[in-house]
Amino acid sequence: MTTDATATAAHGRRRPGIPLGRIAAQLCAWTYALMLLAPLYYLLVSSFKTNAQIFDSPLSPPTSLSFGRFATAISDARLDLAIANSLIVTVSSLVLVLVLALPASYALARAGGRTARVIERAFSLGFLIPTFAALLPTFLLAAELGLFQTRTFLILFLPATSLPLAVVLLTQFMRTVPQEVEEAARMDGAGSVTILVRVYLPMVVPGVVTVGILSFLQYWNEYLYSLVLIGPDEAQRTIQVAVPLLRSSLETDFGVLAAGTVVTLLPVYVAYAFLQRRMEGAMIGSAVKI
Amino acid sequence: MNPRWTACRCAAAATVLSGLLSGCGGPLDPKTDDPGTLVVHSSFSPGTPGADVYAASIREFERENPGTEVKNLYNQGELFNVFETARLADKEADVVLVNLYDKSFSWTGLGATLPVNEYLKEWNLTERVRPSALKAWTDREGRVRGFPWSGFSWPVLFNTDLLAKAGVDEVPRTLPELREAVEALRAEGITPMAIGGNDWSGQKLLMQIMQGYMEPRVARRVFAKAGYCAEPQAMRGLRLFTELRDTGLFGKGAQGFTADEMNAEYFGERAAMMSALTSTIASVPEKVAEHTEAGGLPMPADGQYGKPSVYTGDTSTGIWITPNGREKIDKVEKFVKFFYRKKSVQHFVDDSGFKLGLRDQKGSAGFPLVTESNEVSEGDDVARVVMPDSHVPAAASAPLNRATSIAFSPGASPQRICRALDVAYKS
Repeated sequence: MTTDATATAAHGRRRPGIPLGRIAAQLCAWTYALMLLAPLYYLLVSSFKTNAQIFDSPLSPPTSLSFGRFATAISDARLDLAIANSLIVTVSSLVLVLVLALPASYALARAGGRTARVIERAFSLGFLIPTFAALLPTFLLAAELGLFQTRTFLILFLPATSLPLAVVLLTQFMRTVPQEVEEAARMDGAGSVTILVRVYLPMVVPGVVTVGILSFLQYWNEYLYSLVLIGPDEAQRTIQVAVPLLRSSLETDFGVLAAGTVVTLLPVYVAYAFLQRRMEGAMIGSAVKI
Repeated sequence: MNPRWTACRCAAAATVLSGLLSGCGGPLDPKTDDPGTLVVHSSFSPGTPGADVYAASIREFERENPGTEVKNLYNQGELFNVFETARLADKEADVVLVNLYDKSFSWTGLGATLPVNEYLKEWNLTERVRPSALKAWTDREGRVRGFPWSGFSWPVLFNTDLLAKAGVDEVPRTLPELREAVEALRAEGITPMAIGGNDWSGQKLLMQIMQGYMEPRVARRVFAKAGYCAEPQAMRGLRLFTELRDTGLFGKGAQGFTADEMNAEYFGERAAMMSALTSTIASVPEKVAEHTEAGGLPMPADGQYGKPSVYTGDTSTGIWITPNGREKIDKVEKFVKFFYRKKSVQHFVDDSGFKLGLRDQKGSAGFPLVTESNEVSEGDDVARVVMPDSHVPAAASAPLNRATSIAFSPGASPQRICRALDVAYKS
């Protein structure tokens, strides 16, 4: 009787508690979050420390919150100009990739023939081209066109690198738009461009946002092609090319370098924060549809 | 917000921003094609050693030469690649200020830069250059690759306070003295020698110790063509290195450290010794410099050098003229002559602690430890060993630095180290 009562009581206590699986899942999630946050924390606190403090106690909080290293990073590497250049390149490339990918995706989503399937697969093949493999021919092309060491070439080139992903993603989003909606619009006399702009575009906004944020991250963080094709000129170089100037092989102020890196991350964070809800909505929407 | 309008606004903003900032005279206008602009590619980016003096010198040069504007392009580790790519597209800078190292050894032979023999004579600058510097910058065909400018000393710094704390009254000059010092420092919990076992600083020290038993001609051959495992003198040197490593000469985790960690260890007075290049010596905090003494690295009594050893060289920075620079040779001449002028040079010596490969310059007023290091390095109390950088092929430089990390790993045998070094040449 006593044993039964104890068992019942124990059973009774366990039921309203949190299941073990959920605790484990939460533990894993928190661990993962901490693993992601740790480098950001390290970067941020290092921005307020001297080299000696960074090496002696890397994870301890800073003793002062002077923003002098941020000012030094910005003035030494001219991060102000670099951010302007990165914005010019990133935003222009973003607009270009959407202008190219939206009509292409619309056409592919609505075409049902074998040719369309071949073209769609051809776009997918773009994923197979390794970045390094394209560097030399791209450089030669830039030199041949007289666009070497210009932002213009990068603005034309970067959309080409992300176009396959943009087209494949947007095509899938556009396929979810019911055919009847388009037919109704056509009966009202709308042409293909009008249907794309007024019917499809509003319905695939989550897809556009997804492509936008993925492309933004890719363009903003691009280093190799920016270094090779635009070069070191402070009037043109992007932020990813400017920040390494804060690192010298002989002697580096790691506090200034960390501050410069934080500055490069801010626009990415702002862009993500701005588009986060729409992107998450798009992801969830896609998952539900699958 | 309507996404169409967002896209349109972004496009409009980008266009307007681009137009405003990159138009003629705007801060985003490159101006590199302006015939009045001399484009100079260097590593003197703000915040690096010598950058302030360089910037001040450029301002002075522009004041002296109205109508000539200097446009500076900066790179650090990527300078060699960026220059070569630009050269391929005929868009390279007019003048390059960079060291003779790695890829730059082949530039003059490939036509990427111009030999300066004739310019040295025409501009009456030959007498200004120290013979050792001229020799270092001359290739096998007799071409002077660039105008020799700054050089380096690479002695060992000893923190005499930390040595005294461990009961070591004299800077060690022989291997037995070094071993005793290591033991005493270890007993006091002090790291004997700081080193970046994972980069160039460790690589130089490894090869310096290895040369304890290597004849200079053998060292030059091995550095140029590898064959460490097959060379008995190199193997004997490696055995000496592993023996010193295993007695505790280096700090824990040295195999993962870089020069920055090495500097932090010594500048923070946690290590009693450090192998240091001129630019590093100039950065030693004043308080530490007060009780720092420069000397050589103790070498084996039965080896090739009877004295402690140092590296010295004249290849830190040279002034290279490119094919584009030939088109503006009158401006280049003014620039080179300005940077060869005693007053300009002394400014770098006094305010940045540079060592120049030019004659008749006084020691650094602002950096007494640099002056002392230079005097020690050029004196009779030390021997000067072969500088590997002048012989290691460009393709092997980076892999060799990585292979060095194995040497500083506890327990790595001489055979394992020599194999790693040999493999680096095949990368």
